[in-house]
Amino acid sequence: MAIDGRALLVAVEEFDSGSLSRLRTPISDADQLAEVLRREDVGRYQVDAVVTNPDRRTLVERLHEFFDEVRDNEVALVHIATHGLVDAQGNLYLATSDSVGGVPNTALSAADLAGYVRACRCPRVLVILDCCYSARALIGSMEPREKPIKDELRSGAAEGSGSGKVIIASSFARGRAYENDDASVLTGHLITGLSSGSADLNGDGVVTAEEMFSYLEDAMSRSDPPQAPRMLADIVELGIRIALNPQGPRRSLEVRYRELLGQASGDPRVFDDLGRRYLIDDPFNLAEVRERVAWTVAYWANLARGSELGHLRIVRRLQRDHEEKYADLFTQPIEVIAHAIESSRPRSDDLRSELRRKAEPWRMIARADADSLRRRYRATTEELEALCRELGIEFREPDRLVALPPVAGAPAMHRILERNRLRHVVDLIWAADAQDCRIVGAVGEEPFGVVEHPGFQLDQAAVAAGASRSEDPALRPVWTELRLLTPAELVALLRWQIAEIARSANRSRADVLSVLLDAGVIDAEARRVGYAVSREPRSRDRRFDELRHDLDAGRLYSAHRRVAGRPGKSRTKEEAEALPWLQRRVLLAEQLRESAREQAEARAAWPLLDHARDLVSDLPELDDVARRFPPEAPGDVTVHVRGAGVEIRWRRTGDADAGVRYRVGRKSGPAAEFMEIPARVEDGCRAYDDDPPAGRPLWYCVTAERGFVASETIEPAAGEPVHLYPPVHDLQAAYDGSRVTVSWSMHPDARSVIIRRLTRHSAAVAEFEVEIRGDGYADDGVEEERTYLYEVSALYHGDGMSDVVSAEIVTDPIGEPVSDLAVAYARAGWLSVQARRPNAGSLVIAFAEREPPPVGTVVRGSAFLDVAEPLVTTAVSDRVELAEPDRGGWFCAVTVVGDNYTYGARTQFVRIPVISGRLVVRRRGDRMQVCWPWPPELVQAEVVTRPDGGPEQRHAVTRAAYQNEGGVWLPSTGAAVSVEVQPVGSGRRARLTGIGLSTRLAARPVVRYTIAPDPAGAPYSVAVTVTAEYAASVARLVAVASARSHQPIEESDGAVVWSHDDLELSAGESSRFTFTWAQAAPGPAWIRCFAPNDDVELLDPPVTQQRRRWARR
Amino acid sequence: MMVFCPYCRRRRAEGEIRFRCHADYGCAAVQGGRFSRPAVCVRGHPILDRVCACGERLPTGYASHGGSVVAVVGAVGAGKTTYLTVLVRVMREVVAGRLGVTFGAADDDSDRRYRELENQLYDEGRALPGTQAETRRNPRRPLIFKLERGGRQRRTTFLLFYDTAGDDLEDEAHAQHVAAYLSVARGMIFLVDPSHLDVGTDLADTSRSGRPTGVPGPRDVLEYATRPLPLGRRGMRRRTRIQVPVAVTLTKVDALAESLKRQSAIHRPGSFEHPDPDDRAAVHEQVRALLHRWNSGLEERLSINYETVGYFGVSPLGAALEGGLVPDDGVRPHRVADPLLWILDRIGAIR
Repeated sequence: MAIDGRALLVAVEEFDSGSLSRLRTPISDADQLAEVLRREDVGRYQVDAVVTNPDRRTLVERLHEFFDEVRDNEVALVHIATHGLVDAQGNLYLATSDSVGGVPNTALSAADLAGYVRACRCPRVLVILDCCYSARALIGSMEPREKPIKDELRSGAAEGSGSGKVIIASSFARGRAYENDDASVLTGHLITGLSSGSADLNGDGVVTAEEMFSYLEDAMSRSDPPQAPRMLADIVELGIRIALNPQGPRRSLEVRYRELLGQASGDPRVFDDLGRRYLIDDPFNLAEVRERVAWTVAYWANLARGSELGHLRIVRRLQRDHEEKYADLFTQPIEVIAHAIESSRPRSDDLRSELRRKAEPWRMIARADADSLRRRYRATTEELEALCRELGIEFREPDRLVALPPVAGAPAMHRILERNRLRHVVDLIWAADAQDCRIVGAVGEEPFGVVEHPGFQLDQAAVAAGASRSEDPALRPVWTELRLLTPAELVALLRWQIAEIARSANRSRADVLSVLLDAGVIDAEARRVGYAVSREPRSRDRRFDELRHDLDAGRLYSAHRRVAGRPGKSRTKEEAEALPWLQRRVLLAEQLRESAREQAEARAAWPLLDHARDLVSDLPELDDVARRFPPEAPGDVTVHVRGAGVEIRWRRTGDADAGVRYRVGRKSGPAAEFMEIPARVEDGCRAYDDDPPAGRPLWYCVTAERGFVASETIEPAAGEPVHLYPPVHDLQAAYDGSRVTVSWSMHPDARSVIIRRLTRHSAAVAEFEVEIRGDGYADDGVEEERTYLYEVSALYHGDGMSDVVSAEIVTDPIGEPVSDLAVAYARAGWLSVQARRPNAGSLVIAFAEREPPPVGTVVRGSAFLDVAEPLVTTAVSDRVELAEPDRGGWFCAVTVVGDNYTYGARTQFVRIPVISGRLVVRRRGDRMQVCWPWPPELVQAEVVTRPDGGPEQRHAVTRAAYQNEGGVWLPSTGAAVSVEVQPVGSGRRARLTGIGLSTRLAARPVVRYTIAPDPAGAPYSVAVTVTAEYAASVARLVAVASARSHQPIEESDGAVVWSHDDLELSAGESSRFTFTWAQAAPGPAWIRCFAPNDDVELLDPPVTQQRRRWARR
Repeated sequence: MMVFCPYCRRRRAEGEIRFRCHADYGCAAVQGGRFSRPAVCVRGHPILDRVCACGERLPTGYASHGGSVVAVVGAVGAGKTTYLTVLVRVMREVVAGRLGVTFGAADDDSDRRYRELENQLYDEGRALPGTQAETRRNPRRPLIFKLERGGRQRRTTFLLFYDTAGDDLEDEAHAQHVAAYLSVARGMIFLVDPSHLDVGTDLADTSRSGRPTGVPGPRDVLEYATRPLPLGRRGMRRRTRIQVPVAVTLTKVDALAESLKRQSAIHRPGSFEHPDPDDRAAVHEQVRALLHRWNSGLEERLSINYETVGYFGVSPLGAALEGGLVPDDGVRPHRVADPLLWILDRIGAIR
């Protein structure tokens, strides 16, 4: 979409006669306006060169030419900026360069201009006059009439939307038009309105003439001094589309902001533009600025509350920035706010903006970059330098930061410090003193120093003093490393750490400057470090990465070989920096290795080798030398069987701190190889084998090891194997009245078990012995009232046998299980328990929280009492009353004979709430509604109805159904009925009813009637037919007629036209009555029967039928 | 097709309802697209949501079916929120199963807000507070429910219940806030509390509080609610009556005196499975007669302005509140679904 437009811009700035003062802005205004109008996104107007300083004749010619050329489908826009002159009659003239002050006739008459406009065949013309008294244009000598100037302008142009002829005048008839420093008031706002899209007031993406005028009126009223434009148009609703909104149609703020957030997650610089950050479209509109800022702040809070993770980080940043930087900005005068917003907008076509963008936020720029900008914008060096001075931008080459860890353990040290909430070595060495210090010399050639503590020096003495103060064991490795460093290395380490802090902040897009200031770097150096980090190349080459990885992993020897093997010229900057200290380290490590080689004693060689390995982990020949110094072998190895495991002991030799560890091996054949086992080693002198194989010979050995060098393997001096035969476990015996069942668990390597039975009286002699392959045995040959002892031992391959484990059992007689048990609520808080007594023994009613064992299970007394609580013991009665337990569980009937408890019938018990209060039963036609207070913890109830002469019925109802249906609705015959409500609870196998409510409802027979004209009777004769399903007596029945259109609700709502007393109705039979309607009375609209004594449930005939029937009469 | 946005209350062309990947992805990339649904957003997330131009997410499927607004209006203290809460529960738990349809919240927001109300009334047994009057800064969000009918004539209807606060219809200025949804309403449930009328001794408990002083009665509320409602198709040519079905619903019928409950169709249980036209007519006539008897002045206004009027009697709680608490008998709704079912039948949602 584009506006097909053509524009003529006239600017008169200089006047030949000295009687008219020179104007300052018309030409620059016109140039800027032309540029805006030509923009693709504004309107793509065809604008010829601005007509500057024309004389009267030239102006008239150009106007003629323009109005002739403009086509019907185009929008013609004429903008004239000059002095306005008024003659004695009040007519307006537009000054040209040859006009003379005080002689208006020498200028172009506004009436002539109106004539040209009228004559123009183009239906869409917009004339903008930027001059004093401009509202007098076309008005003549009269006061301006600010109304549609149909008569003056109408020219037969096509009517309809989007056409008309309009003049916008910059001032009212006696008003002056003013110029500001850089633009006239009217044209300045015109340009702003079009270029920013602010003139698109309704947000539809198009600027119409009315919108433009409203915008100008609003904006100019706020200018200083205020100015009041006027618009004169030939049709009330013009809707001429004069330009497009470059921002496009305005969308909802939230949708727009979400898009911005989406863009910003890819490139956070989106929010460098404050206008976008706060969605401010017009920075000069204070009301809008305030409204948008409040909206955005609230919107951030919403997003943060909603934890929209994708945007959370950026939103937090925006919120923080707002609090720290911008909240105050929006309390400033509108000019300050607008300046801040305008200057934050990116302008790529401007050296100043480009320079500022390039130098932000460090206010530094490299000379080469500045020069390239200077060349691009064709500025001179002096201009560039002046601009930089004005903007406070410094020329500076980025400092060279320490790129590689200056010492081998630096990354590990840095990580340890970070874990301990220390920022760098200065923090570590001077601890609390360094918390608020400001460090000098973090970058560049400055020597290291701390502003507040001139005495601080990074050297060995400081490290030693710091180490002596530090007690934290986690920091010990760092101190060890630091002790080895020279003062220069310490400073390099600090500089590297500060550079790493800045790099890390830069990578995570945090505010680098504040992070560095937090790290204690002074402001000037923090900016230099930040600037240097921002200029570091982002992707490094492969050689740098290799070098860095080698150094991080401690592979210094291979790094050294690779770097040293390269010709000097082809080394990278980092490699060249790293080579000297790599050489130093490798050399030192080699010296340590060689001196170790010359040692005679292992204890003297080991520290040297360890140190060499710490310095250069991949140093060659280190292992060869180490192998010459194996640890001492352990002495006096012994092996002992301990239960199902084996303990191995030895004597430790050599120094406890020498880093020697011991390994245990095992084999199960004389010719087999020892295999290492995962034994638990304790105190360095004994180990446990927890899971050895059973039933076979086992040999053990012990080896000492240091690093990867092992001593010789030592076996027990005797050289005999050990054997392991674990006994059975979990042995149990049980008697069930006819046999004894013995059960056990055995080791998986056991082959079988041997069972021997002994009696109490002849313990020395086994009654029988049997071998079993399994984990249970049933002994049928037992007698009652005897005590038996069962001995069980496990048998292994090779005829090895374990120790004996035994179990004793007494074969007392046992009672028969009880088959019936019923538990019910007797009254509130009491239960009635009924069970059939056993033939022998006593009956115990017991309560247990968990389900009892199956029926028939026999346990001994103590085992029974552990799990169940005997409530009552009875030998005579089958029925007992018990207090209700305070928790759910199981009731069971137990038969007790001697010390044997036989479990019988059981039933689950659930506590059931009591239903109390009032039970309300109401008849509702042929149904009845039952309601009662529903206890909160009750889940189900049962309604039992017992109608007189009818069968009992039960209806279960849940709490939700009760609530959803509004009580319980049951069918009703009209007979008297007893209603009972009981709470119901159910366990897994039982259903229990609790204490409820009951009531009785008196009989109330259902009686139906019909009422209709009696076709067989006399005219106006009406027949009433009454039917009852069951026999019923009606004391009085009346028919009430009403002439009104509303149904009678009570008998008093109409006239009684028929009545019958003491009506007796037989079951299922109908009684018919007729009566005659008085002929003189008006016809009834309704006739309805009532039973005033309320002794029957009277059901009306269908209303639709009645309405039809009586309405027809 | 024009779609009514429940939140900004504007009718939007379907092209204005855009596609967005789910908020879980945190990407919130909004895409245009008129009819074809893009499979993934610009960042490759699957497209699941549709959002109105106002930025609000619409319930799943809403954009293709549109919503039917059912306004629940009544004077201050008529019990609109309580009625709506009980109505939804009965529709979901009782009616839906018996009619062979499904009825449930259409989105999480409606579900959450409804459950809060339901929990307070049913589980905690507390009376629901009065609804705050709507303002431009604090517009009311409707409860949106989805009614689906299966079978050969499968149909999905989104029901938008706007619980209009009594204060919203207090005067003309307030009524303008709610005009946006009343003007597109497909049905209106107009609640009338008998205690707000001149009932004399027709209420069993005459101590029940009457109409709060200084607020408009049912007549005025009906007048304010009627103005924005759409006229019939011929409305432009000559004044015709409003086609929107209005269910005039007498609430708290449990409180009527015993003499009025005898022989009364209102107090019998209705049937959802087999709607009985005689039962409907009996209730209609009885409520009409009661409103006439109490000089409500509603019938005349309704017959002048509305083409289709049904009279109903309901009792959401089944008994009066006792000190702000639901009575011990619990919530016992009576005939509460009748008005809505009648409206749904009229607009063809369950026919």
